[in-house]
Amino acid sequence: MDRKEFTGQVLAQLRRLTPEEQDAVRRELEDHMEDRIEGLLELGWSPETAEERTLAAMGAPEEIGRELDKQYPPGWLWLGRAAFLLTTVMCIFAVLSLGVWGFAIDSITARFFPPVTETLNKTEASMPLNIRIPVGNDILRVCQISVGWDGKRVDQVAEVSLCSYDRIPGGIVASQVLGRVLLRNQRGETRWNDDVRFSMGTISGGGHAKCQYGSAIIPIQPGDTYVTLEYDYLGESFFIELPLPEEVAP
Amino acid sequence: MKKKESVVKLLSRRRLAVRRILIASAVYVLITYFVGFGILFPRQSLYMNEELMGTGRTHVIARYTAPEIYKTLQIYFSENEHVTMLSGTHLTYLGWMNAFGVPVDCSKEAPMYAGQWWLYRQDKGYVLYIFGRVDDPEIAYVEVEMQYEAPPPPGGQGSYRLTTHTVSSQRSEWIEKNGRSYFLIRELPEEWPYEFSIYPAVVGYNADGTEVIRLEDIEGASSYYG
Repeated sequence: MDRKEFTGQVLAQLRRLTPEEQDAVRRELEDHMEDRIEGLLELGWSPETAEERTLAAMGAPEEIGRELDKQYPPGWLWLGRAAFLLTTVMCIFAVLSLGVWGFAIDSITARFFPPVTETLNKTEASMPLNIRIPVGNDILRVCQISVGWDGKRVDQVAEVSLCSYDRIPGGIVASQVLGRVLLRNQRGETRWNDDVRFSMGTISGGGHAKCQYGSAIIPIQPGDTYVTLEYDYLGESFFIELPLPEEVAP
Repeated sequence: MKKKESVVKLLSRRRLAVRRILIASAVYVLITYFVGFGILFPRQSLYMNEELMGTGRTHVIARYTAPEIYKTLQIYFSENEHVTMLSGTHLTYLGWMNAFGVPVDCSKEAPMYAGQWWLYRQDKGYVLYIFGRVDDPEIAYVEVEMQYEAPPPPGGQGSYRLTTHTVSSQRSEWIEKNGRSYFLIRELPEEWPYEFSIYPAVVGYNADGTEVIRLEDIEGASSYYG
């Protein structure tokens, strides 16, 4: 029996090992035998005798193979394979859900480039705003205030554009953050069930679970200098005054 | 020497498995967070409902099932200082999916708060929950008047509400949590002929039967499942 046959008999016992692991064991066995033979050759032994003595010193190949095989319990191997399979399935699923990833992207981009909702027929003046109001786990962002006409009434109107998103990029935003905001004019007038209620929608055909957009309109009168935004729901509340664009305040 | 090499190999197999498990966990967290699918536990779905409704963290006070809608549908009755909420989740092949729900704002001072939640599944059935919180210790029992919007009589004008029947809930049946009292009434109005035009009025009475508070047009929602 030569070294190759010896190694083959050891490997034949390694049923639990993957091909990569069998290759590693083969290399180690061969390196080990090579080192020992070289040592014997340096002592003046002939190559045939050195190999023969080395193989004899190694012991029975079947026994070595069985003992090595026990060192590779299958539990970790199957666990690793299961984790790999799960990752593959999840990645396929993630690719199939590309549309939903767009929602998360909306949530991230709204922090830097909030889309402004404008519904006025004729805009007299606009003032960009960057007011961020924490509401629970979410942020309500006031993006713009405009003055103009909406084509539905004779009075001049103010339009406030808002968006909301979770404090953590990609997180879920509560639908009521926009839905419960009230816009009032300087006399405290609001019409909750009319067009003052915020309506969703500028991008993606409307708001979604990760980001919401909208605007509200309230009639204003000559002399008005501000409108107010109010929120009082589920223990969260705020009240802010938004100045109308000064140069065109009616 | 041989033994040492074997141990090194064993660690390698374990290390590979641990690495793959960590990668799988990271991918799982990303997918559940950004996509919202693959929820493993119904409680995770409850957290998602809390985010959707903006209630903040709530404590579960009771859990129910609604097999009329889905065999696996879990209804969570939960609360915190400002909110009383009923929400649901059911198991699908994509994991637990939230079935939405109804939060009732309890942040303003009031003797009683109430909400309603209709759940309807086509060709399966429907169920109505009426729930709320009672802060006034004088209120001994609650009655729910099941009303529907009746069409105007011939030649008449304006619809009006008619009460079909009344359901009551005694204080002894209520759930106490964090010093607050909660009631929940589950109705299966199988003979209800008016679909979703139901307007339950919730009335709180003291022990003498005197009306303490009447809540009409209570907060609520209808959830339709295909």
